[in-house]
Amino acid sequence: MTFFILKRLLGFAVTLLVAAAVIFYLLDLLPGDSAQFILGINASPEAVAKLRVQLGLDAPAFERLLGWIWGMLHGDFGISYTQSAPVAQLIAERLWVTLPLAVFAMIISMAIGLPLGILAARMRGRAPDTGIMVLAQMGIAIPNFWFGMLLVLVFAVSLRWLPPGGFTPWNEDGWKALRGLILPSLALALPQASILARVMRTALVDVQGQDFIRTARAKGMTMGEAVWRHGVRNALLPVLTVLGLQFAFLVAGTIIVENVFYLPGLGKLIATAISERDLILVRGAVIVLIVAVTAVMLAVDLLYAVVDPRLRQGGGR
Amino acid sequence: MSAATARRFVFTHPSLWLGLAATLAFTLLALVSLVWTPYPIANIEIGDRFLGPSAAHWLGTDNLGRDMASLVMSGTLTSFVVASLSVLIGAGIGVPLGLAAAAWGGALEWLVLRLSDFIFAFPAIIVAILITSLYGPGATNAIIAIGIFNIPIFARVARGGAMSLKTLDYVAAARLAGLGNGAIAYRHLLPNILSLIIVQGTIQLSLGILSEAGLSYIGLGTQPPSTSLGLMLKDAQGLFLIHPWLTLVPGLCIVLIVLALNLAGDGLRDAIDPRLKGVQQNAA
Amino acid sequence: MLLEVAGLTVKFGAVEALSDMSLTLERGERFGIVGESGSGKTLTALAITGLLPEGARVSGSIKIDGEPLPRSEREMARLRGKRIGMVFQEPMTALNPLMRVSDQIEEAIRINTVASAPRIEVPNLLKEVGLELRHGDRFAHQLSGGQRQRVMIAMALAGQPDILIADEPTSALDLITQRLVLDLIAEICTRRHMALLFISHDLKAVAWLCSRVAVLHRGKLVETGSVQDVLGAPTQAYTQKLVAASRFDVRPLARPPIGKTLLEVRGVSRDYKQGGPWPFGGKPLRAVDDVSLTVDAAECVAIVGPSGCGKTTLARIIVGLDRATRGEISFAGELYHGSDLPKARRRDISLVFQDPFGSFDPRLTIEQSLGEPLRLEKLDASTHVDRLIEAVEAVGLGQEMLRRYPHEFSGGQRQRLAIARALVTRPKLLVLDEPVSALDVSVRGEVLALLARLQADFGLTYLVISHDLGMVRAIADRVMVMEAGRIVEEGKPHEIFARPQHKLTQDLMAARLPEVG
Repeated sequence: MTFFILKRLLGFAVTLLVAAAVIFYLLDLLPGDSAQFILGINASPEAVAKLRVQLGLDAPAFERLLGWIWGMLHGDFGISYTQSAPVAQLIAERLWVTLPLAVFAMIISMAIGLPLGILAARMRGRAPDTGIMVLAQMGIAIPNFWFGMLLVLVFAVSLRWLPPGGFTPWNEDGWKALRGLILPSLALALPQASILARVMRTALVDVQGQDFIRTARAKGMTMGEAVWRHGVRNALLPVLTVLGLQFAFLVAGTIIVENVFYLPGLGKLIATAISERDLILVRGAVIVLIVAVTAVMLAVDLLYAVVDPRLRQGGGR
Repeated sequence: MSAATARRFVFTHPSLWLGLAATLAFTLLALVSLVWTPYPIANIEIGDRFLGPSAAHWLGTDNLGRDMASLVMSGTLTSFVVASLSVLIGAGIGVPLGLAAAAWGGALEWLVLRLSDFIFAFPAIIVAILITSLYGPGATNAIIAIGIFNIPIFARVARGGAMSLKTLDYVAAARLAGLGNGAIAYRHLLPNILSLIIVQGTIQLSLGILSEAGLSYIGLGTQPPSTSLGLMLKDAQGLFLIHPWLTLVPGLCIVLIVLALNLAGDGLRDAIDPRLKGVQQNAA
Repeated sequence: MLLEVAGLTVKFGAVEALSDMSLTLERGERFGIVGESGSGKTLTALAITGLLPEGARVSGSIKIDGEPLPRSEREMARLRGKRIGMVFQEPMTALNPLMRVSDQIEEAIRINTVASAPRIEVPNLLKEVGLELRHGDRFAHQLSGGQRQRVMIAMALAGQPDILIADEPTSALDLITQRLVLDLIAEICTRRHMALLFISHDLKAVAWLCSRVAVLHRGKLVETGSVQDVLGAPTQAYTQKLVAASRFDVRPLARPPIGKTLLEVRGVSRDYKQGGPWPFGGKPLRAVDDVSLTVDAAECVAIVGPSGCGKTTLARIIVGLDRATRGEISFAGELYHGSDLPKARRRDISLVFQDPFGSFDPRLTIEQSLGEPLRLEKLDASTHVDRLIEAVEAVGLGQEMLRRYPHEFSGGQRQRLAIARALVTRPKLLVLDEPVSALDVSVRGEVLALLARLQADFGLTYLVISHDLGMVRAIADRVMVMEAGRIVEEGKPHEIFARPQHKLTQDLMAARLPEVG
């Protein structure tokens, strides 16, 4: 068990280090550098060179990479020259929108998708199953940001139940902030819920054919009891993997969906940073996204070991 | 499965039939736009903007007075091209990697698995952000970003399928007959996982259409003057409260295309999945 | 009458998988159902317990204590738990992998005990099936096959049933464990005065355990009666064939004399690294440990041993699929270490695989699959075809079979084709890895007779890998017993069978069931 956790943690660290290096070197390819952008095209070469030294840009790339990683480990992501503020602070502000959004969407999609998937599997081949699967098929086909627009049309414009967009910071009015995130998280959750329902159904249908379900029935359980006591937990194993992957989609999805609702999330920050060529900000934001995705995958791996005793001993999968 | 049983299957499975037919229809529509659209898509007639559907403009006109039907046709083509090329990139790199991992095993397999784990940490949008920072926005970015995202998916499907075949005795028989890893992968493994790859390809195609729409919508994908379904949604963004029609048309198109592809993919999987074929025999 | 089945018919769509099956079972009686795969023997058990898969239509009557089975699913489930205990073939998949086995037994007790009744305890059940308390705290994957099957039996006993239905309970176990589990079932049935419905393809096991028997074939009842009558003096041709096959009667044929040493294995070991490509990591696993042996031309040598003893790894090294970590092999004077077997020599050694279903690429015709080994020789087109025809005709099939695909053949035919593929390069040595164990009993005899005839006709040398002592005794000139990677005993079959020296051999002999009839 300890070996397993250590192996995963090591993998996590290596992935992040390599990812940081890839991002760093990719963005380093760009012609021109920050110093040039800060001073503008008309700046004298001497001034640019001086600023380069000041910013530490004259050091070899590898040294700067190490410096960047070392800084991040201490919470220092550098200073954004376009916004004249620490990158860490800029990102942290935005994460207060992006992360709750992704988490809400995850919770909603699980709350909708898993029960529906279980219901469909138990009713396999009958009307509820067909109905749920048709809905799920539709749900997967709908782009989340377009669904967001439809939600705005219905719930904000026609019914006027919820705000059409914008965001009130949490510390100003927590309730208002929450209300602002309802429609966006619903928009994000729908396709994910559809996928979850399908995965859950398939997994449970597979499990229902397993020998240990027959054993449970032989013990004196009805099919329903056997599936509930023995099937669901086993069926959740493949679902867990999908949940991990989904979080990556959700994080990516927030960047798109926040556009619909004019939310001040990471996506907005990145879009501005790209258009203003603020590479320090871009790489900081990107690495934070990758940390989030990788951390969730690590959590899924560890959760697997908790749920499945076969993984606890003998390291591999 | 012989051609005859395949044909019978198509007719006994209406959803597969419907999915394939609809996919084909959209593909044709997209291809026609290469040689003919009702109006040139660059044709701006500010005076004719925000028109509803009519005989002259089947799907109305947008905020610049462009013909929506023409935009949809041309946009569908872009979406298909982006999605198809990214599937080709993903399958072209991922399948050989996965096959090689299964056939050679050892350090190579370890490397492929770690590599695909690593790429999984980069959702398409992050790759698109990086490329856009480097080279500016464009449809090529979307293709590369989605293509890279597809690589580990195909690699895993190919490896998984090949691994389950690799333990079968006919692979050992081929080895005894003097075939090397490469020849075994090509002659015995690849043909037997091809159906898996095709099914996955269909699914990734539909995901690619969705991703392209998303990337273009936030300005990281297709750029004017060419158009795509996602870009049409981006153009309609500021207006959708007043003119929802401009949002509904391209959005519905995306939904229908993705639906068609998913139906086709699911139908193909049902047609190919040996577990479903074996149900009756196992029960008896 | 405890259990009475009359006119039981099970249909799937238009297919009648079981027709007009009847049987009766008294309290404490032991009844065996014998049949091959697809005979309907498992369906009979599933119908009695109400566990048939969806889509099955049942007619006929099933009565327990004169009462028909209840219609409601819940009542049927409770009746199943209290009256009927069940043990299945594959104990690994039959247990929930995520739950400790004691919890699974506990659950069976809880479902089937009324609050007022005296409570059965898990430790007592574990003890009854010969397990210790600590085994209860484990998960299924932490137990051996035999221990898992004991857990299954403990669960079946939790409801204190009157009937135990055991469906191929020992087929997935090795020989020694098989016997232990069979004896355990017999002992428990006697002690609890419990009726047994024992389902198996193994005539010897049925004859050993049961007093009455029914023989099923393709969903139809062939013959039923007391074990002495049915298996001792079968009246039906099918039963006669089954009984003959269980004895492995292979007619001795005039064979070429045994010649000089063809294959010599000298001190071969095979270590497997564990835990990925890391230079450090787990201790290597030694699958084959310093094995030396010789096989003479035209001889038939058998290696027997329990699963996991390294016999298949040894075979794979000899044919060149794997490489020895240490030691060397000499074949007709040429030295090699396994996968470095020179291409020019590969045609002289062939391997016949165990599983006739996995040994042909479903997308290639038989002609393409059979032709594959001929790449080792550079033949012109007409010789190539002649060789293929020669090979299929040698195994008793016609050349028109060459154009077909594998799925068009039965298991027995595929095994013939697998042998044909092994013959196509006209090899000197044929390595046979469990050549008949995946086949139905009635087909096994045919394949063994074919192998004997081929040896007589072509002077082939055989190296047979098997766990099946009866088969080995019937065909081998010399037997080697393998355990934990080492050869622990060697000799003529009749000597070894009569006077086993090593502990494993003695256990194997003791575990054998008496011949039928």
